[in-house]
Amino acid sequence: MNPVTTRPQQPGAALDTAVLDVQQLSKSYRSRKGDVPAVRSIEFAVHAGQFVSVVGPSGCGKTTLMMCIAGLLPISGGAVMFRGERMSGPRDGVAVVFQDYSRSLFPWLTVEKNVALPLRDRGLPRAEIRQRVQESLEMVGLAHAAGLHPWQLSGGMQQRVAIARGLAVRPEMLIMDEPFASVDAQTRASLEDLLLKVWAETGTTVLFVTHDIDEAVYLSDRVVVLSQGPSVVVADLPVTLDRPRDQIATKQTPLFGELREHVYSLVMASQRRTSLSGEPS
Amino acid sequence: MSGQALSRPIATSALAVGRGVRSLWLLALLLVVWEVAARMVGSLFVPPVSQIFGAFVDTWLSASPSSLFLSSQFRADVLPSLVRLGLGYGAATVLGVGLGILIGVWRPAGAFFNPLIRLGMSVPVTALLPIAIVLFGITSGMNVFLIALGCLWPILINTYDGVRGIDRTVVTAARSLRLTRRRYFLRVLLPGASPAIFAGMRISIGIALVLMVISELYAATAGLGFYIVSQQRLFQFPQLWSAIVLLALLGILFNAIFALVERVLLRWHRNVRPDSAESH
Ligand SMILES: Nc1ncnc2c1ncn2[C@@H]1O[C@H](COP(=O)(O)OP(=O)(O)OP(=O)(O)O)[C@@H](O)[C@H]1O
Ligand SMILES: [Mg+2]
Repeated sequence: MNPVTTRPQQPGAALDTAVLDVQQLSKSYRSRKGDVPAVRSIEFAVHAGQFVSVVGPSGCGKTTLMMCIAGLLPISGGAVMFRGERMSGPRDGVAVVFQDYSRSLFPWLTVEKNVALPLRDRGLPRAEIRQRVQESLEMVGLAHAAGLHPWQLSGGMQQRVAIARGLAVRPEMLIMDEPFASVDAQTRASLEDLLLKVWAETGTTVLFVTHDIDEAVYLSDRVVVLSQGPSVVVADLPVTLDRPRDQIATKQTPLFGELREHVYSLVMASQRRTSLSGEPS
Repeated sequence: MSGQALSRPIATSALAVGRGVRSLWLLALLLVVWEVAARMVGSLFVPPVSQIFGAFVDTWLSASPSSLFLSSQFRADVLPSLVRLGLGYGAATVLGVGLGILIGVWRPAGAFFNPLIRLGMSVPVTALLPIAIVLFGITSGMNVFLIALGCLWPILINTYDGVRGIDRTVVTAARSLRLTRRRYFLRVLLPGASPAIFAGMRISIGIALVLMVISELYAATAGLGFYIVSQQRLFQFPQLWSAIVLLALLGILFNAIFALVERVLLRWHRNVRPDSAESH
């Protein structure tokens, strides 16, 4: 049985309930030699509470796409709709966890103050801020590290602080850009499980960008596959693996194997296509 | 009381403050060599250390404990110098940090002012001393002006570079948190630029001391520089040297204060791991 056709997710049918709707999004960077396209025409939607991964080969424009969706980069064409409203900049309800955790946390602030920062100037009472910080840190298992500085923590712990900072604003959608790319394999596995736990507890929608196919399949409800840059969506696959997932048991199921193989072949095929059409890699 | 007996504790406590000096032994040896050589040569201009320290205590620290041992000479010459230094350096810091942030944040201003600043920085301020004397006369205002002008450039340029050099990831992360302008300024911009700002301030405190002395040597009616010239005219070389020792101690003290402030405020900066240079 082909896993792709097992549970066809009709994007068109549920479009009105989509939290995030990316429509014909394109983005070019300006350079001296003219405009260089990074993403060409991206189209997909994410529904409330879903865990959606975006995979694609390195350099295909994942970070660019994520920054555009988060409103941190101006887009060149198309639209990003959040709850039916066009995104024109960073907005409340969307939190971002960056690829480079060591630079997205502020080293001059303690863990606690890093997490509290986005809650300030929001008219929240102090007690509420303190309680939310405590709550988010507990969720990522770092309540004991509140008074430390980011540089006193391991890479994995720093990324958990970044996640806590994202959660503290109680976002409707959490956008994560290869958050676990630079930690070791064991830490990575435990961070993945932590993320799934947090996702289940908070019910927030997650858009997870990665170049790791196993990770994408393991975590997600859906995997959006991007081509080599300038990227387009080459496939949008539902992942029907049972939840809760387990690092060993889930990855041993035949369905997991099929899915990862399928995604892998799609990524490889898109790479071959672009290299055959003579585009520089 | 012999000068030599007192010189040792003073020297050691001064050194304990100055972290720049690697080895106490080397300095002790140097002082002993100086003492012996000076006694053997018997030059009027380079008296033995013991005499210098004797003069130091007599000149600066001979008062009663109620006035913290600081003599009337100290109040007559050191205090005016310190006030000028403080005013000039303070003005340079306020102006330098303020302007540096302004042109660092506002790109067109940065592009416009950058060449001007590099030019201003390359003019030796000491060459402007005659002009300053003509403009201000022999007043404290002249000394303050010169100190401020000399200290301004390093603080300004370092602040500017510090603001421009803030990591783009840091700025993007801050944008995604939707901070108010005020909080962004206080919690992100200022701390992010603070290592560079402090570097500029640290360079400038040395410049401030030099300009203070030089401007007072030429044009002042009180102050450490003025004291040095007058002692030279009176052929009182131990007293002259005692003023130089006092200047050295001031330099060490200022450096120690900076080391302390940086240790507390910039602890994060020394600890940020260099492995954070990963790019994408
Ligand atoms: N600020 C920029 N200016 C110009 N070109 C850029 C800029 N940022 C990225 N690019 C280009 O856009 C393309 C996509 O980059 P992007 O960082 O989005 O890829 P990525 O998929 O996130 O890569 P990785 O897997 O390495 O993180 C690359 O060819 C890159 O050179
Ligand atoms: Mg990337």
